[in-house]
Amino acid sequence: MMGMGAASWIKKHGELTWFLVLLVLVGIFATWSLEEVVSGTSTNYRFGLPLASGVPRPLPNGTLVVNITAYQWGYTPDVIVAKPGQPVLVVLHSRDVVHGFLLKLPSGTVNVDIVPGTLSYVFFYAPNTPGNYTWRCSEYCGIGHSFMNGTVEVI
Amino acid sequence: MSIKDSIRLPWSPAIKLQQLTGKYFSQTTLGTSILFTAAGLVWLAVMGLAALFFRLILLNPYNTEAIAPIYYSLLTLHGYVAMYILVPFLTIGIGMYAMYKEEGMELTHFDLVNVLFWLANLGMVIALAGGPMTSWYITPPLGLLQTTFNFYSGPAIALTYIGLFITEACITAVAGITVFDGIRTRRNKGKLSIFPTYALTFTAMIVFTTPFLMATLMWYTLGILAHVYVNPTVAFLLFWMWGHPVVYFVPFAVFGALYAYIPKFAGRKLFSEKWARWNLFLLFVFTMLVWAHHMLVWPLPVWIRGFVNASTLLLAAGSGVTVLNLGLTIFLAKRYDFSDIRGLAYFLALLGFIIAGIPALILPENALNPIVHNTYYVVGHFHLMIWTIIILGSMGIIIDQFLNAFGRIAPLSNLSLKSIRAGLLLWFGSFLVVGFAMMAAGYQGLIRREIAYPVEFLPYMQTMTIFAWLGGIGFVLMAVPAFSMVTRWLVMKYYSGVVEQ
Repeated sequence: MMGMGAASWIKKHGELTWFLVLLVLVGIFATWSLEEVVSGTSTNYRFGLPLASGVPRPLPNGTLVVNITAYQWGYTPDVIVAKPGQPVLVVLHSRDVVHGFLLKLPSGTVNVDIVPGTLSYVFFYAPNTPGNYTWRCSEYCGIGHSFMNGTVEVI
Repeated sequence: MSIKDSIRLPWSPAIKLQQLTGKYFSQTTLGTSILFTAAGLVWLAVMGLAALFFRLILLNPYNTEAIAPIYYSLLTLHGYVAMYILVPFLTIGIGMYAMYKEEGMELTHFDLVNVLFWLANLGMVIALAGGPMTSWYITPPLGLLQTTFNFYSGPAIALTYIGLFITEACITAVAGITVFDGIRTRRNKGKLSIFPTYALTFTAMIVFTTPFLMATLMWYTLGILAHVYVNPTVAFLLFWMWGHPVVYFVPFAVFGALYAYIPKFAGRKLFSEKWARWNLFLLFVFTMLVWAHHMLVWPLPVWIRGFVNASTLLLAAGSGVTVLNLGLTIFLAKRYDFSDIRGLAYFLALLGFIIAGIPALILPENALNPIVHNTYYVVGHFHLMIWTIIILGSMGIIIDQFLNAFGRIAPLSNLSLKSIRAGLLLWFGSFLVVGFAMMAAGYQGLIRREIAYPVEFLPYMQTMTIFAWLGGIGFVLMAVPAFSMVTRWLVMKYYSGVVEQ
């Protein structure tokens, strides 16, 4: 009897039912996402975080800290030499316009914008496989945008 | 003869102006709505040609900086025209048509609207004349550097932003006048029908959000002329407070047409009128709460990124409800009338919206956005939206509009109907391929706005270029019969002996 009542209630209030279902689904999805944002637990979020919100404190022993300046159109320095598995902290600064730093690693993608006047931070573990990993500028910065890149050399 | 007699003009300026405006200005709501949508189609052709040409440049992965000024000028023209004039013109034209067709609401300020229309176009010409290479985002400080402009130099680079300011001020005024006049001339009582409800709400949104863009443009102008400091993060946030809502002006106005007309072609009533009306509040409010999701890789505080992540998901739920509502309407119908080209256009618009929207669900997620931010993935997503819900949805409305205005003078022949149908399908199919090629390439790391790129992406670029050109042919097949109706009307207006059928 109660089942029949519920079914006929749902049929009568179909629109409200669907709104409530959607609201619950969105609430779950948004809460999960907010929790990730605050705790930085997801893979990619941990690997590329402006404002240093995902940089581990204290830094792991042996972290390589690199200060990089981006400019029209290049990076200084444009090579990072790291050991396999070594933690790397890159502190990014721009001296002219907004640039980007996009580095695809086997374990995830690092992608931050470098805004003049503010530092951006990138923290990652160098890949375990030796080789060269190229980063590129991802934010349009003028006619030389396509030619801005650098290399992480893992040796 | 007195001095007064000797300086009297042979004609009265006021009467002369009246004759000119009477002859050359639109004097009906239907005519004015066509002024805006037809102008939109012309600008679409201009920016579309620019895209087809810069896509040819991208067939070479080894381009040097020498080609950069041409490429980035075409790219900027493409983006400026699309977002700063095409989208608002289509929105306003759709808003005017919806209120006229469904409720008999009328414009009353014809002369003013016509003057503002032409000024808006002039502003865009002034903006583009400097050869800006800002891309449409006008990100500071890049947009404030002289090296970002080909032809304007020194303080004159501010003319680009002054030109855009003129365009946006005129557009805002026209949008406000449209809503104001429409409400004043409404004769029916009770609830406004669904098409004008949506169309006028998002015409009104132009008035709510464009002032943020105008403030940004004024700030840039002061930055160039008076050396006022422009904080990049604050200016960019201000820009996106318009820059996100603008992408919804046309889609959500088109939703109104889909709600009104898809049921007619499906031969049954809309699944839920209540959903459609409740949803409007969610879409209107949340459109204006999500803007910083374009800056998820910027150094913004975590709470802002968390907020826009959640608010974007809520907005996506609103779009999902629209899809569910219309989808159920079609699914529960006995048949759908694809033989009417408007029915076909609306169906393809809805289908395209679904196809374009689903891959975008990862974009507001803070965890996933960095994988694809500033890559061709995003470019593919928003272009799929533009090609389907915006252009095909607008085409359905424009065909309806033109038939309403010119149908007795130049009814569409069988050849025209076949051409439009072929054009709709060729456009839709070709641009689906382009969009998915873009998203696939972007997911693998092809960065946007590059003229030189890793050679492994060349097959993707070739696919995009070939199918974009095919899509361009589709546009010609659709637009030529539509514009031929306007041409015949013009001939009838200016030549004697041509009569209505």
